[in-house]
Amino acid sequence: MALEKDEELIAAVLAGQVEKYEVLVKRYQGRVVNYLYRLLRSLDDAHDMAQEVFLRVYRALDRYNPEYRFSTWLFRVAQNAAIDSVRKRRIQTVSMERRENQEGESSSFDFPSHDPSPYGDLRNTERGSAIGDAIDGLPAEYRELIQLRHFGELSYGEIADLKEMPLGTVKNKLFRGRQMLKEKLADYLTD
Amino acid sequence: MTSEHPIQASEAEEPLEALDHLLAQARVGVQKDFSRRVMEVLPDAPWGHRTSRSWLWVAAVAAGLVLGATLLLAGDVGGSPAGAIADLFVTTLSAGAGFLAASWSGIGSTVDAALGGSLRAILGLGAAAAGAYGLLFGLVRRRRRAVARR
Repeated sequence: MALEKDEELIAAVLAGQVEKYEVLVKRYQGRVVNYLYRLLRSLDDAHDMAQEVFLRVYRALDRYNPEYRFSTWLFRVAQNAAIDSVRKRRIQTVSMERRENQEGESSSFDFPSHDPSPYGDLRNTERGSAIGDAIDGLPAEYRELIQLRHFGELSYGEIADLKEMPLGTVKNKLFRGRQMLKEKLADYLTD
Repeated sequence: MTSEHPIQASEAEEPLEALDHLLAQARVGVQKDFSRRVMEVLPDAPWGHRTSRSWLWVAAVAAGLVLGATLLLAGDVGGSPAGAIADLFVTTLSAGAGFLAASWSGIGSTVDAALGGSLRAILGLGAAAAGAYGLLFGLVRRRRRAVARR
């Protein structure tokens, strides 16, 4: 069966074929969860927020303008939701952070294990942390684009639309950001 | 273009394959039943309700206007506290309507005096009004586009 375009699926949902929305969810769930995971640092929170994002988008589906890409709209909603959540968390914070640190909980990213050896998990966790730290260490203007490109898997054009930047600027910033990441992660790139 | 040093497109697109591979490996999997859970929490076609809700608003405003007109025509509404509130409502409506009518009459006389029956002035005013509508329409359209993109 031919892949239906996002716009066609949305039209079908609005016409009453609600089950078609699941096709859209499945199409974007991995990208949205990964993107939110990089922003929120918790896989459970990323899933909860992704669910909220798909719900918000569904509620506003009749306001979707097919002149623009669905992916751009979806990621804008995801980005706004994540920013709101991080802001709320900051308000709750200081004492909570101290308690977590005392209890020794790690705020680093997990790195899915593809290594069957007993040391695999340890090495993967370490690598995941290093990637998370390296991305966090980037200037915000590069970090944001790297997250959208490598975890949201958006194209240069989609990022340009989303960030309302010229395409050339997006390419420049991504190139610079990737160079910085390459330097920071040099130890892991030679493995 | 930004103030940053421009670089060649081919340079910007240069594949950093090892880095791409490393970052791709860092992607996480999605919970198995995620899409099913999303589908379970979806409300029933919320956009249909939204349309009926907006009609409900129109109906409520129309009912308010009918009530106001009835009270206006009925005149005296009695001496009870509820009557006094209704009386206040009627007075407010009358004053508002009178003020609006007076404003429009005032504007009408001013414009009439300013034009002085000249065809050129009337055409000029028409062009200015059309320009103002065009500007307003453009602004509203731009705002709606921005909202749609959000």
